[in-house]
Amino acid sequence: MQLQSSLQAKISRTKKKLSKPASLVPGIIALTGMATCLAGYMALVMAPGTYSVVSTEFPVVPAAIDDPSLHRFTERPGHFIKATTPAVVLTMDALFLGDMDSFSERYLDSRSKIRIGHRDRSPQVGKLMVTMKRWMETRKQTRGWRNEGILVFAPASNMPAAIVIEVMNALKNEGSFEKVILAGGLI
Amino acid sequence: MILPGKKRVRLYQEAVDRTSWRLTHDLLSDTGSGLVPGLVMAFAVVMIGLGCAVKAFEAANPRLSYPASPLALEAESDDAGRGIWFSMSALGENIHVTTDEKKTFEWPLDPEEALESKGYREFREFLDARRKRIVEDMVLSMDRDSIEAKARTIVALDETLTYAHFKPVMLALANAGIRSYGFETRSDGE
Repeated sequence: MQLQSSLQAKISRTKKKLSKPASLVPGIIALTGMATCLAGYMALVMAPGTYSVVSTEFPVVPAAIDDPSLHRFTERPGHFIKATTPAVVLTMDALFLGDMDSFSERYLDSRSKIRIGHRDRSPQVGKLMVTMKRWMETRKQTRGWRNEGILVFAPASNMPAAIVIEVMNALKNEGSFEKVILAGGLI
Repeated sequence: MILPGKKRVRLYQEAVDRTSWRLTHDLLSDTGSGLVPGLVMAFAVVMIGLGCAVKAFEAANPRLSYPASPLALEAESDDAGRGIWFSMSALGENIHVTTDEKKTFEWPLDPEEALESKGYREFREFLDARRKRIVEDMVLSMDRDSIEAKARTIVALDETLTYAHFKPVMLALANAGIRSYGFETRSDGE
């Protein structure tokens, strides 16, 4: 008898529960949670990350156009690439430091340039910087050639792009050169 | 415990009634049962929201789904702005270029063959057209910035490529009259 009444109570509780209208709340909470998880995952996958740039530019031939009537402004070139402009050549074996003349007119003269061999096939950029500072100081004292803030960097064609970018970034960060020009056709 | 006969019949009858009511009523349009339409609508809203989020992420990050993996190196911050962005990587026997406008170009890995290829010619035409468009936009909006700054090109160069692979691109940039360019590096990958 007692068992029957407790079963009856259970049936009536279940019936009461079933007779209530179905609630939207659990479904909405579940969907919102799913959407939040998906959005978080997408944000993680698609986040832009942090990027920086090693910038350079092509040298151009000055073709200043006089404009006396309107603004009285004539654009003048800021830098010149000359025979005395410092140049760095990067090959698979070594870094070479000299001026533009030493890689063109005096190409065969081994004393016109400084060779810094790679260590474990990796360019010794730190050594290049120290040598370059000393070399430029000597040039200034002996010949009076001051640093004009421009350097030509000529990598060999078979150099990995990653090493080219890394060396160029080091040359820019060295601080002596406002512009580092990437040469395309010297060697 | 077996229920008395009358109650058992009543419970069974009620269950049959509920089932027959559910089978004869359209739950999607029935106002009394809002669960199914509510869930369908919520699902639709979530899908539309996710679609918008994908578009927003794509706009914020032009590098999505592009195969190039640039060098991890801390360099200058990319504050100078950019006019054109493209990634460059090797896929099979070809150089694969994808632009920020989702245009793709392909040419052979060999730089000499590349200069004669159709894909490279189309890439040069693309750069010409982009620069022309940038200049026209500047003129129409009376923008006083320099063309160099507006047409500045950023290249996400895959680190597996060599300098020789980049030379045709240098030629194309110079021919298009784009003077200022740069190599993108990953600052967060160091």
